Amino acid sequence: MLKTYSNQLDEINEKIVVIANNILEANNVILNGLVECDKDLLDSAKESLKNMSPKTTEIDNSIIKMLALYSPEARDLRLVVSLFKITNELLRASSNTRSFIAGLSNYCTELDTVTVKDFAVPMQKSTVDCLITVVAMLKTTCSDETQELFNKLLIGESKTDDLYELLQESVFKQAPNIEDFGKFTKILSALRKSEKIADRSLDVGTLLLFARVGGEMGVRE
Amino acid sequence: MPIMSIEDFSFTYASAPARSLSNINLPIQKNCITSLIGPSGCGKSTLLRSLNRMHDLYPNNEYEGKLMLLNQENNEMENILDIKRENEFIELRQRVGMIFQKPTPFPMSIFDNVAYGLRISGIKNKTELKDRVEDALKGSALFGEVSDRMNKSAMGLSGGQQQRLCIARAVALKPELLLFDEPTSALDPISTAAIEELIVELKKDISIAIVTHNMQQASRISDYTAFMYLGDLVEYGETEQIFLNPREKKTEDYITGRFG
Amino acid sequence: MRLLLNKIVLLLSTVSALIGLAFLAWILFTLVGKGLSSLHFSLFLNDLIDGGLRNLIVGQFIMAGIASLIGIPLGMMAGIYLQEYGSGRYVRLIRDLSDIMMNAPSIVIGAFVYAIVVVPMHGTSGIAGSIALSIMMIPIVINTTDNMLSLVPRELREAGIALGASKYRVILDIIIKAAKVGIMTGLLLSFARIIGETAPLLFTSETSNYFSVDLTEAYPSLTVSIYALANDPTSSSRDLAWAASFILTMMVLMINLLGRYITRKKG
Repeated sequence: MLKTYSNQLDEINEKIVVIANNILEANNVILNGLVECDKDLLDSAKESLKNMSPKTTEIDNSIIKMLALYSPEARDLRLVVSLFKITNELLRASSNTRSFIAGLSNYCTELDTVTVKDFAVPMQKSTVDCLITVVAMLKTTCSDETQELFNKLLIGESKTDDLYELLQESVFKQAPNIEDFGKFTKILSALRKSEKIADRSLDVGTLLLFARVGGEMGVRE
Repeated sequence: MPIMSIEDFSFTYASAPARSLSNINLPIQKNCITSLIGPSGCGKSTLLRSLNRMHDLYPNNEYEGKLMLLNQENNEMENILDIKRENEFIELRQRVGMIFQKPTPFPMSIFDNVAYGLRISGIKNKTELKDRVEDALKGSALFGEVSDRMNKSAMGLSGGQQQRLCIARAVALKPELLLFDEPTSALDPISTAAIEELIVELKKDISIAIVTHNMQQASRISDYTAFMYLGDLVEYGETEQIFLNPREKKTEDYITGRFG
Repeated sequence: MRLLLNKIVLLLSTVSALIGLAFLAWILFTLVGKGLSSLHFSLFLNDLIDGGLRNLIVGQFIMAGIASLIGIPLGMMAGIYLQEYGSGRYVRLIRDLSDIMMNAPSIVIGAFVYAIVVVPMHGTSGIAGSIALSIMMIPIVINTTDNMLSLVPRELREAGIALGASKYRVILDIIIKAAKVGIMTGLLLSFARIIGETAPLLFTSETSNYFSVDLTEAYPSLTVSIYALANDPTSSSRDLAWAASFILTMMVLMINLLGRYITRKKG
């Protein structure tokens, strides 16, 4: 392996980890914001995810260059191609996070404490756990560890899904009349983003599983 | 400034009906790796061998144009096609070294192999020879493997080791430009990888031109790439540009494997 | 049908080989039989005048040795010229001439040397004999050197030149060393060849019954003496001739075997 190839690969991986961490941090802020409803905090989180698109495009171009110059095979090829798709997933997750923050900023005062405490907070916590697992998966090179973390991710994403279902029920029960229904749909739409972020995390995890362990791309176990 | 500038250069082999190279214009950048790629018979080896006047071993070849080599002392370019005297040829070949496709260890000890060029250039002092031989072998990542058998015949080394020996032999003379003529095509993949890493290391001190029929090798290690076809230079540019966005259709056809 | 043809050809070739080998075996058998019985140690201590072979053996070696001193340098230099320096028409011409000379009848060479050395010197001599042998040797050495050098790969020469060495240094330091084994074997075999020659010596050095180091006179040689002894009516002479033939054969055989041994060991 030429030193320059593995150096460049490491650089790209680092940049992706940074982006994943940014998304993780923003979602942590959301977790706190759900309880305290601190608008400034929420805004700063949204700011931190600004300009994601040029960053991922830059990484994409680096990856294309690597494919042109190094003709990677087998494990190297799977990794490079996975990273190429992961930038897309992270871009979407970042976008979801920003929408989440936007929606939450408008409506967090409307939410009752029960809904928040019993459902929204655990759901977002689960999402944050998924993101933590993803960052760990990005950093490890061991295929056994990758498999373990992936299993954890599967469980985490499923939990987020379940919690969202319950949250949805709870919120609908509270909707007193049709006029408020529109408002609550908007609230749910924002909260739904958490579930979507967890989905994106699982997609990233699936790609990393393909890269490090093998098999076919896109087949969920 | 490039270390070598090939200007409007054409070449015809003795009693050949047509030119093997036509009006080549190409710089060889300093401390960079420039690769020459192209299908068999495109003239890349012919061009490389002109750069150290190797064709002069055989009579009646014809040159046209200029091959300008940078004189590091006065920073001027001098045409190496003007060289006529024996001692000037010797000096040229010590400044511009060559590594061949087939490893060519001389039938003598490892030490004598590496010291050969040094002795030719007049170095007789035993300590100096020993130091320079050691440096050259270290610089070719071979010293560790042969330090305990420097006086044994070089013919006992493996293919990859022999090729590194040839590189050490050339590097011992501290050349300014090293020409590699398909240096790894006779080697197994592991030896090939070792030599590629070595060449990338070498470019810190030496400018390098490499002919290769292995495109992936060119894309992996070179900074600049020149694509040749039927004696013409079709395209030249940074390797990244050639392999990602070639300007000429012929270049793209070759790189994507559509011909040749 | 083809199978049958194969078998027939195989049978014929084997039979031919056996016939050839049979004759060789017969010769050796006869030589050993007749020669061994006449062999005894005193042959190596006495000169022909006393019924021994000492002066003949020594003389043969001395003339072959002098011939080598002349023939080897000349032949090698010519061979090197042909392979390394020559070009085009002249090379082909010289090679062809050399081949013709290699096959020239040895008696003709003897006659030639008679004309150019013996006549002016007013008599036969060891010098003339040596010259005749060297003339026989040169084409063989040229051929060997030429061929062995041609086996050295072109890249080896180019690698030497690429380091700045001049042509003659590349030849001396690298090429000859690379062809060393082949050339040495060739030289040894050419020596074995001339040491068994009779015709070139017949009119040039004749032979002598006495031990001699004076090369300006007729000079003793084993081969010519075998001829003379064989024609002598006395049976003791004939027995001596057998012994001499046996010794000569053994000498040539030993040198040939040495050549083969060197090739196998260092090749």
